[in-house]
Amino acid sequence: MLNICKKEIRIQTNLLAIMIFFLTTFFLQFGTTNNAYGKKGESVFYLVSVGVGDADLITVRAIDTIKKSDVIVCREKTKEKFAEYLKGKEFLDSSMGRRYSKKNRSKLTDKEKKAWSEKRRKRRAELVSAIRSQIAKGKTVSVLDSGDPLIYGPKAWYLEEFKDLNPIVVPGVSCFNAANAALRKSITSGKETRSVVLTSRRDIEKMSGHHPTMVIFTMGTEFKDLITRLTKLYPSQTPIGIVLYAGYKEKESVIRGTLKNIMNKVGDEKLPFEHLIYVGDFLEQKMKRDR
Amino acid sequence: MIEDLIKGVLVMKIKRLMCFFMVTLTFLVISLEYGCSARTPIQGKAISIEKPEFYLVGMGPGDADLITLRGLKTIEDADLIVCSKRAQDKFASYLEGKELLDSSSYKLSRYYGKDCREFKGKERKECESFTNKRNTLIGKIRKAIGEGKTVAVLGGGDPFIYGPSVWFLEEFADLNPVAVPGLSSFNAANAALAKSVTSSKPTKSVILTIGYSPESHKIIEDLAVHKATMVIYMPKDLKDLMAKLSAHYPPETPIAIVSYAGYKEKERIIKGTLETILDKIGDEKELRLYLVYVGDFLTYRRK
Repeated sequence: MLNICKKEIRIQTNLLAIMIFFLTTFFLQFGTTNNAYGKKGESVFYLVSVGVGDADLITVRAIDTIKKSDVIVCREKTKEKFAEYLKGKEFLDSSMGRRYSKKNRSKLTDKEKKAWSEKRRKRRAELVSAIRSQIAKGKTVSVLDSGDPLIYGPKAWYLEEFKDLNPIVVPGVSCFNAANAALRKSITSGKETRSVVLTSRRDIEKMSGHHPTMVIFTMGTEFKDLITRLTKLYPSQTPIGIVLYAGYKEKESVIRGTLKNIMNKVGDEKLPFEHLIYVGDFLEQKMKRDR
Repeated sequence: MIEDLIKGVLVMKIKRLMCFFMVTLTFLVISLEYGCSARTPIQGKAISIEKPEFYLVGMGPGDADLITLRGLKTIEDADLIVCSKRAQDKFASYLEGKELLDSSSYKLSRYYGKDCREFKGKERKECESFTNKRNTLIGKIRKAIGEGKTVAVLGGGDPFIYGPSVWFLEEFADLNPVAVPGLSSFNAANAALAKSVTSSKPTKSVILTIGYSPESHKIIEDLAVHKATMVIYMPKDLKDLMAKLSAHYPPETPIAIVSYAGYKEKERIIKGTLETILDKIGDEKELRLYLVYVGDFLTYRRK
């Protein structure tokens, strides 16, 4: 009985191996030659959001996409954060070398600036060709980004560069979604407005016309300067909320105030890079009237 | 003797057949288990010392796999789940053995904090009926909390963007509720379009607005000047919207409509310009749960 079973196991294992071989070659061909005809939601090139804050704000779909990828392109920090999912995957470092803030960049001489941007250009070209060669080998590549890659994301250029591969973007939690949750208020329920503007340093004057709720992606902007500018645009009693480290269970915090007193409330505290500023009376809005 | 031989052969055959089935079954079980392991293991740690007993979880849009691990873990740890019928179906495999309460109608939210005497006729009756329903729901949740149970309300998308579940946070404010962030359909639609919504020549800003908002015409006028990217959540009347936009925007302004964002199978994108989009939509009845994008970012290229 046992002997026969062994034989049967052998035969079936062989059959299975052959089937797997055929299936993989079949799908690989599909993948490399023309993925436009591949299964819906499948590609060989993905831009994957891993969410913000703690690692547990990644979506199930993002994990599944990482699992089925052979090559992962991301920063060293992201690699560490998601180490358990990246085991056995090939890794390409997406870092473009040293980054300068706008202020520091202006301190560079023209020659230094040129050398710096030349270095970045070269680094990018290397990375692109490394990805191309992996794709040519029939590998599936995922670029990992945090937040929503399509809201002020630094990795959207991959989509243009690899357009021929019909890239798929796997959406994720933006710092903005996480900050909404930290505030625990409907951001679309202002007294006068039901609209929200996502904006940055350069556009706040343009976008403040009808006083919508405003979410400012600060990205290193000087805080005092921003508040001074906002004071010229909104009434001084307008509520302000600053969300620090959105999505990090341990570190997340909120500073509340009005345009008038927010500077005092922040005081000398140096705000981290990870903070968003909310402007609008939704912060104080209640559905129920006080009884 | 011949009979014995035949018997022997028969027994052999039966044994082989049994083996065949057993082995096949084993393979099946293995492959099934492998398939099911796609249900990602959840890890995470309880942080706060005093465990909160009331959660609002953003489920994300589209298919169930757009929920975060934190969202799943919260569901797993909860005893009572409050959600819509649709969410019950979507997360059926995670809700087994949980107590369930239905919060399907958005009207539970619509009349929250309102005095029904403000309304007349039919609307007043509706208000009263939904206020009763809501009070029953609140009573049941309070009872569960009193019994020491952990409650999780599941809200669609990002509950804080045009979501009907935020009233729970106000009602149960005394419990210090915790909100678990979720993606908005907007994030999923961005991904579907695969274009940076903050990259266009005129501005680097996005405005989210809603179709039925009384201020929408004001916003359209305002933005026509600066040409910021505009995202309109579920406008009721597309023809009317396009007419309003046409008054301020040039006819070649790029427009995209994303319907069923985040549903792998059903997601649909229609692209065109202010001039052509209505023709491209064709049969509008199929169009459900959609967002309208307006702006140059749709055709913007860095190179």
